Amino acid sequence: MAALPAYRAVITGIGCTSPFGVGGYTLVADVLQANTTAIRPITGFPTDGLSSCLGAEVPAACLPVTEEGRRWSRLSQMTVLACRQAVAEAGLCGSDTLSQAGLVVGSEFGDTRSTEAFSLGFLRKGPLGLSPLLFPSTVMNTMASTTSMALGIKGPMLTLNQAGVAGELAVVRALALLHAGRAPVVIACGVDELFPLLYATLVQLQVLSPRGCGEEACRPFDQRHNGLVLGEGATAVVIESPAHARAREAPILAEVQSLWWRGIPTPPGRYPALRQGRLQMLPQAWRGAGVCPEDIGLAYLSGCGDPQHDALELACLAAAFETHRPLLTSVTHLTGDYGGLGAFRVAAAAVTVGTGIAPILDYLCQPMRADVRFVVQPVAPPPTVVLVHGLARGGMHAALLVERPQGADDGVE
Amino acid sequence: MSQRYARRDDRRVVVTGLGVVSPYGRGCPAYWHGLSQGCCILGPLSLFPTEGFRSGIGGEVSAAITRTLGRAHRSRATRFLVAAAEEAVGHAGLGAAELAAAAVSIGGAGGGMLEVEAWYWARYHQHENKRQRAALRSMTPAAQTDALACQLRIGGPRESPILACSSSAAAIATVADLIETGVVDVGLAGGVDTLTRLCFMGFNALKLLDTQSCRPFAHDRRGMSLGEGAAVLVLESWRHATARGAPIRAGVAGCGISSDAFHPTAPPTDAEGAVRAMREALARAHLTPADIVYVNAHGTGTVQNDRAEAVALEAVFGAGKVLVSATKSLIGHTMGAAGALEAVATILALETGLLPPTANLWEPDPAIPFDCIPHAARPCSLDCAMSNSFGFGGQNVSLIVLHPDVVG
Amino acid sequence: MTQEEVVASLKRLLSERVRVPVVRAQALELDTSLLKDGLGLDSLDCVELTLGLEDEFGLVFDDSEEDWMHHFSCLGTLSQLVLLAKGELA
Repeated sequence: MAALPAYRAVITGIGCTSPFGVGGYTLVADVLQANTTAIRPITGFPTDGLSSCLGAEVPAACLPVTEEGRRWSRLSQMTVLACRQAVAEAGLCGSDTLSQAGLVVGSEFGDTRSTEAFSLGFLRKGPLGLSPLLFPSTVMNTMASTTSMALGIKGPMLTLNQAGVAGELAVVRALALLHAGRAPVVIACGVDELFPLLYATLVQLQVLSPRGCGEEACRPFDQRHNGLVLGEGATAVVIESPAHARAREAPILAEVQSLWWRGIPTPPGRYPALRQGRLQMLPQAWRGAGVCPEDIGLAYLSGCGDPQHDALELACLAAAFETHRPLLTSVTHLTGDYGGLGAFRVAAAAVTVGTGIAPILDYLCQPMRADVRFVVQPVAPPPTVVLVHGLARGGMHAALLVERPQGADDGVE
Repeated sequence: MSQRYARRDDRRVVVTGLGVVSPYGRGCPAYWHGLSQGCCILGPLSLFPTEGFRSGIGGEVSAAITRTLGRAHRSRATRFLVAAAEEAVGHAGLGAAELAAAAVSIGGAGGGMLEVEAWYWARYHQHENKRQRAALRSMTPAAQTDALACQLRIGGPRESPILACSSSAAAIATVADLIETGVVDVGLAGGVDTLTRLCFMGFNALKLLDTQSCRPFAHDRRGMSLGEGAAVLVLESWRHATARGAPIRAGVAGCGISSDAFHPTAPPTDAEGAVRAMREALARAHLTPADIVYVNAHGTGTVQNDRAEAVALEAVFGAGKVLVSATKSLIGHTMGAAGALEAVATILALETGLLPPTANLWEPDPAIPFDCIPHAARPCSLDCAMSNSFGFGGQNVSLIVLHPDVVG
Repeated sequence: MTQEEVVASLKRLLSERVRVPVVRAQALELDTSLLKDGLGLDSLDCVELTLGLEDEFGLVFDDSEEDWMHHFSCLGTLSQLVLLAKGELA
């Protein structure tokens, strides 16, 4: 069995800490509408001597030093702000429900910045250079634990580590927690940050554009794609059952369900081989979700500008949809790429089904394939069912469906 | 055996395979032999220099054992994990088709950090090499799970939960959920962590390590001892296991997961979160506190943890109403692997009718009102038992396992 | 070493080690509580400070002392401890 049993929940709040600022539904809608990239030369740390210099950074002004956050790492602060915004938009602040809520944080690298700082303390000064204060941040659950303390969340709290699709998996796991009756509400958050060691190492490993070939740029699905451009951020979505949301008169932004969740056996760090059937979402996945491929008007892809990734993802979707050709889009050209970005994609999908706004891939001059349709102009009519698709190194493959709430006339209830 | 233990639904979760790598050696037999003999395996660490630190002992898997654990070019964590998983899968008799659809969830905190540290240290001193840099590919905990999935061709839902010391207990709980809700029929759940410089330095800096072997629940306890290892459990729905004639080693009756929302490293003095996790596990298992006779404790040996844990146990069960023992007194605190290693210990205790002891318990703390089974294993036939994990950041997981005879 | 000098170093440590804002640290009086009912430092902060104190003054805390945090109750107490350890007090 590879399809997930149909379990539908609703999204009732969105929060983001992003290169575009800190906000919720409206911020995401503005970002998609403006379609202006946050990728620019990095200023947060020097990139001299590196063959790449671009990234999408969360501005320092978005992360003020506060008394409450005295001991928070930068990454934890991003997570707290996003979750706090989502909780506020969901109308849960100060509620008893919040104390019973679950929290799932997905991240690829966690607080490796703090891990490095901790190690440097020892390397520079021996045992006396160590910082006990910093040590808890070296374990990847630090963002979730800090957020739980800041918001008073006492239900099940999980941190999921995964390359590439950490954000999508956080949402999938949140749905699973709800399905298992472990919490009335779950906050799912995807987060990762840019830091010097990661950047320099990925340059050295030839992961970042331009990889010695052409212009440094973020161009997923374009034939000129030549590697990743990194970004950072935290996006949180509040998820609960429709009945629970209706009972407390919560704003229902979209419906969400898991469609597909599996790992293709692949050596760590590599993409799965492109072979017939390996990447195909089986027909029973569609049936299990109670949806036909033809119902899907648009798909958010995880394509990041890595040629292998982009090619695999398009091949996978071509096989999954067969003759149907939904519109394909991406947020990566706006936000840069990072492991937790999938949560932003889910939030964007919720905005799309509510407003019809979807990012336009205006950089796309030489599409990789002619047999797919990319969003190159405003979408009309607005799609009511959107696929959020994620594929990652190491073989993780996940997909979610985001739908306009039932009974909604023109979007947000 | 009481009928009230037996759930009737086909999706109740059973354990059909166990696999372990521990400081005692490779495999469950070596593990159980060490535990049941009450053999404290803690000793001087040799994996990295320990000079200048107040505590330099722990439960280290010896070089001789590690050499038998598969491909040397892999991370230490991957080698432990694959060996443990292969034992579990072998005993469960899982075939290619089952593995292709199985879930896999491996908890851990450090991942391949031991090898990455070596790279970073060399880089800092400006003599890094390419071979060391290759360790980066295995840095994260997820990379170990990916490597396992690749090695055993596991193709179902995959997760790497990180809940500090509760990571692998959470893996067991969440895979059990996937089986009970019909997402999968089979799942591998477990954890791995190796000793790392980071962990060693960090707990030393926090002054949470005893300078001698840890003494959980002792009057003069002074902290933890570190350890390393891996454990993997094969979980299945009862229906799937019985249909293929698989050996049922235990049942997973119920799991509780809660958070303290209190402090980055310390539990609240009323242990309210731990109490909730235990009560949730009992409720989900349809059991009452009176049904539990033995609890495998988190039992780290720190002044704070053991005190808070005793408060929690008293609140749930009543003073003196359960037997308690701390596996960490024997093998050290294996971090992300602890939950799974201790779940295995609890299952083997049920299977053998022998409760593992708490080592180094020469003077029990009179403020802890429980018999903590000092020194020698205690014969005791049980239908069910509880295993608890309480991690940094307020992560609480409580598991209840059943003797196979009462799984039904 | 005078108490003034010690207090100045302690205030700097509070900012460098446990991230108390400089302005707040500088404004601390000798008897302002550093712990829960005042500045709000907890056990994790105090463990961090013990390393800072050892590094700065060579002051080593006795791990076996159960109530070790009372040394951190205020700058007055802490500075006295440092001076005692340095032999500046009888």
